[in-house]
Amino acid sequence: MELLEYLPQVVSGWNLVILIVGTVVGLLLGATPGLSPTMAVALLIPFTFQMDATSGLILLGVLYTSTVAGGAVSAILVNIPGAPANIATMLDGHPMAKKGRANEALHYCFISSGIGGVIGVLVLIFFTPMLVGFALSFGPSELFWIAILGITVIGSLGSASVLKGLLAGAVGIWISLIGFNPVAGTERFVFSEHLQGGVTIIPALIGLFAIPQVFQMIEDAKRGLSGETFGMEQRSVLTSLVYNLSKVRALSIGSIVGTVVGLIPGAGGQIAGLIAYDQNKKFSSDPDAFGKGEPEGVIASESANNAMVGASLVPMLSLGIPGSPTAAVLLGGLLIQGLFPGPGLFTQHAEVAWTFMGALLVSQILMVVFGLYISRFSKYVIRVPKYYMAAAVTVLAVFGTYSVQNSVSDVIIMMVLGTAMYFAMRFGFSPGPVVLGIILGPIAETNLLQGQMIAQAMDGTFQYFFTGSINMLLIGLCVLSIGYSAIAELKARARRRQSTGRTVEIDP
Amino acid sequence: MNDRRHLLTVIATLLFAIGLAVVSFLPDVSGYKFPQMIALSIVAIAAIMVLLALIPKKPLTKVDEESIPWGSIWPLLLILVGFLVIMERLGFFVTSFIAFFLIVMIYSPQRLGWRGAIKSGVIAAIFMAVLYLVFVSLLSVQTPQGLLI
Repeated sequence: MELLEYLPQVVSGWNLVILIVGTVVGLLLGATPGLSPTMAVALLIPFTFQMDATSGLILLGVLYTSTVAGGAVSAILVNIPGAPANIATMLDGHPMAKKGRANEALHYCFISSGIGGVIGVLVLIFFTPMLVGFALSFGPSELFWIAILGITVIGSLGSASVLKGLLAGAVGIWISLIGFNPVAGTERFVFSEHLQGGVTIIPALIGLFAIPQVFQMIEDAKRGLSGETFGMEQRSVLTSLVYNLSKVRALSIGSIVGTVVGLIPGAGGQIAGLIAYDQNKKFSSDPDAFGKGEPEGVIASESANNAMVGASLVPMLSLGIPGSPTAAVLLGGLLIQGLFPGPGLFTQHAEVAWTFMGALLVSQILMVVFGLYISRFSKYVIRVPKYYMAAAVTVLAVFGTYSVQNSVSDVIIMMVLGTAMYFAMRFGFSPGPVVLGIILGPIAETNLLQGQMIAQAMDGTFQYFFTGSINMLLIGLCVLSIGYSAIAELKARARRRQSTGRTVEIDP
Repeated sequence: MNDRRHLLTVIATLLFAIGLAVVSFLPDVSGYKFPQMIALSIVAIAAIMVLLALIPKKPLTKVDEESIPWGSIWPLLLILVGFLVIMERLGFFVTSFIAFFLIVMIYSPQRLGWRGAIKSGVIAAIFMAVLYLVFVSLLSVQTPQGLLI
């Protein structure tokens, strides 16, 4: 088999140095709030110009792997996701950290990332030809239902109530529609010149998560809760590994969801972790524990995030259609090296293709090793006084936002959204559903409009959107997801009534 | 948070939702169908929240509501606005240094004297220098330029 033939090249000399340096740099960049994997890969593309094609691609691939995993570090320790993919990790990772289990959460994060990542790369290596057809079977109607399925997980994203979650999600979708209609090209809701480019995901993500966190930190500092507010239990890696491996359901759901979502071009790989988290919560015997520091939440979302990495490269390498935004940047790196995706890549440039895939496999192992090592230093992060942390996050938020498009308008949008979110959070709304809405809004609208145009030339809109096995499967999943959320909400209300004698109230 | 304040909150949410619906339905051009659908959904959800708030003793959406600590946050609000105003005039790094320094000085729980101020200034300067060296010098990332850096 070709992979074994080229594997020695992966771990020899210069390539091994690139793998190690790329893993460490990727973990650090990923852990920096505001620096997404897409941006990290884009920033380092110029460094590949001086390298041969194999080494250049190895660097970009290893960065992709390690930045996705590294993003969980800030999500767990600071409650700010490094990338949209890490939102679900934050939901249980940060509560774990607050209970003094940050070390444990980081262990699960890297171990699960490694397991999910290896599964994703194995899918890439062994099933690429088979899965190309599957990836191509997703047209506008299927992608529209994928977006709707994504929206149905809103109930699991930590709002005080499903209604508030739904409202926040719908507002997120509305915000994502500012700018231009993707099909007609007409300008919408551009009340200021700063809104001409619309509201893109990175400024929104940074603003919605980082700025309210800055407000929270300064509030704590003002109240005298300045320094280390949560301790950190010591935990051996072996204990975490054994526990992690025992969570077969969370790992399986995460890896399968991550692989499937990564395979689908245009589905937005960012939602893999959220869907996996939601599904795992629904299958759990104790769904109420989620959001309060349940390790399975971290395991499911992180295994999904990294399973998505390998899978998102299947349509990219075989068809030239990226399965995630970062895969799109990686595609640019491939083209710069004079390599064109497609079946020819595996025959004319077999050495490059197989060495790259081998490097992705090795990078998963390196990511686990270095990630677990770096997690030992997280105790220093939690010791940083809150007022210093707030100042650093403010500066990094502005820096990260501006550097995406070199746009001051993005910085203004980030700060306005963030400040508004802080006030909304005081009234029980949470940022997760808003970000999910901003991610899924354009996917839903573009595919709805494209689907309607296709439907006009076919049998009509109803036939187009409501027939076909994949459509029906996705609609069924949407109905199940909504039904489950509704039942879970009713059960939770009944439990609250039983425990308090009446509905929960918060006094002033 | 008491019932009256909760009711005011959900009514404000409904008014906000109606505002979104108005701007979504006002333009008489194509390309607004999807935003209109979303705006109507927002109004419907907000209306349900108002109805639930009106049912006596069933304030089902009241959990997690807290009052706003204006006394703590107003200096930060001013710093954020100042950041946006000054950034393009002075440059990113100088503005960031000032913002970093001010946040530390204002929000440090103990009153910082001269030595504390110098220590904060040095930490802010080191943070900016690392950011500059790694991202601007090494990775060629662009930052807002002004009179200074």
